[in-house]
Amino acid sequence: MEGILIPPRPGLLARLRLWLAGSPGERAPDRPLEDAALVLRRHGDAILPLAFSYLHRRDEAEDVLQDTLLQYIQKAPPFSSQEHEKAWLLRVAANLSKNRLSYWKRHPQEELSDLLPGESDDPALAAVWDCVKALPPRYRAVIHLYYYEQYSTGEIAGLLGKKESTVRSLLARGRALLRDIWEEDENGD
Amino acid sequence: METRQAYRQIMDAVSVTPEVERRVLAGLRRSLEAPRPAPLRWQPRLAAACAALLLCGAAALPLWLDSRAPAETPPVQVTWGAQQFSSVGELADSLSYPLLLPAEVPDGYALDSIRCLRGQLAEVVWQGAGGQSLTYRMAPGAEDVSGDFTAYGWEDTLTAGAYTVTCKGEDALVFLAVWSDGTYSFSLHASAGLTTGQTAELIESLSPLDA
Repeated sequence: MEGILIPPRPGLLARLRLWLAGSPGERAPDRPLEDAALVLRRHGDAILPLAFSYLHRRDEAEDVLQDTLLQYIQKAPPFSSQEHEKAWLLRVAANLSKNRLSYWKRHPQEELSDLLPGESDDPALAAVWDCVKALPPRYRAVIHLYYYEQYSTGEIAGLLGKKESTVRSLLARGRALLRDIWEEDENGD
Repeated sequence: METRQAYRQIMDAVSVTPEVERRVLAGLRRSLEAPRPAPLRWQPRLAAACAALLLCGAAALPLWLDSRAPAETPPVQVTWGAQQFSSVGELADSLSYPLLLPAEVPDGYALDSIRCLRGQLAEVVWQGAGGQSLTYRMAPGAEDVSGDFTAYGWEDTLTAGAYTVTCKGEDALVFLAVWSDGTYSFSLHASAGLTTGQTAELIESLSPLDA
């Protein structure tokens, strides 16, 4: 049973270093890469568009997707359901995306946002995309999570760590900024 | 075209293609293989700990001389309501029911983590050299205790000893096995998959922990 029921003992110096870095067991063991691959298949199509809604660059959104999975491997808690897992991942992706935007604010970058993600030549899509690109960053995630992931305002609030009243305000103001297009739709143009 | 519909169509084009999946996983592998930055945080902590120790020692020396009761070492805590143990014996002692564990696991796996979740769910994890893991769970009741809600490609039952086991997997490999004896619920998650033979052999080797 040795090795099966008895764990290998770390050396004295390693144990002392672990103790000084934080009490043993504070950091859960890393999950294997295979778990991250399964998570990528389960939730990648939710994480990538969310990151893209913030950053408007596919290459940057992929970097955020990769960093989110790295966080999952190193720090994710046990989850009670798939929805819990997805919400945790989206929250991490949102925070990583905001970090990048903050960095870009301090280190202005040449405007390289995708003209239109996808290969469509539809001018209507391009027009909508131009409006969405112009939306200030603080409205982007709320609009995306509400209209694309179809979360409720309460769920968005929990996911982004905001009050529900804040989310409702952001949603209202974001929609107001896009109002011209909404009104065109309502008038059937 | 309705704007909401247009937004959805735009975002639907941003998806994880096989090429994206390959790039992301390759990048992830490189990140994991790269040596982690040296834990610089322990150096300032060490200096702060030494300074704090000197101050506290000077202030508390008289108290220490008066009351030298042995300090109890609290159980090691991890976050999220889990309690970590350094041996399966300690885990078994903390439970209100007799712990059953596999006596045999596939070659190349070594014990890695021993935990109790929410006071009664026993979890033991073995890890292989390549980073793959086997996670075994046991708890009173009949509910699924695996915590794995993945929609696997196939689901089937097999008989392993006295147990009827529900297996879920992809291709020819079992990634999740769940079963119950009516009193306790069990699960086995294999991150790299096991054959049905390996799964059955492991479950058939379940036995009480020797005192």
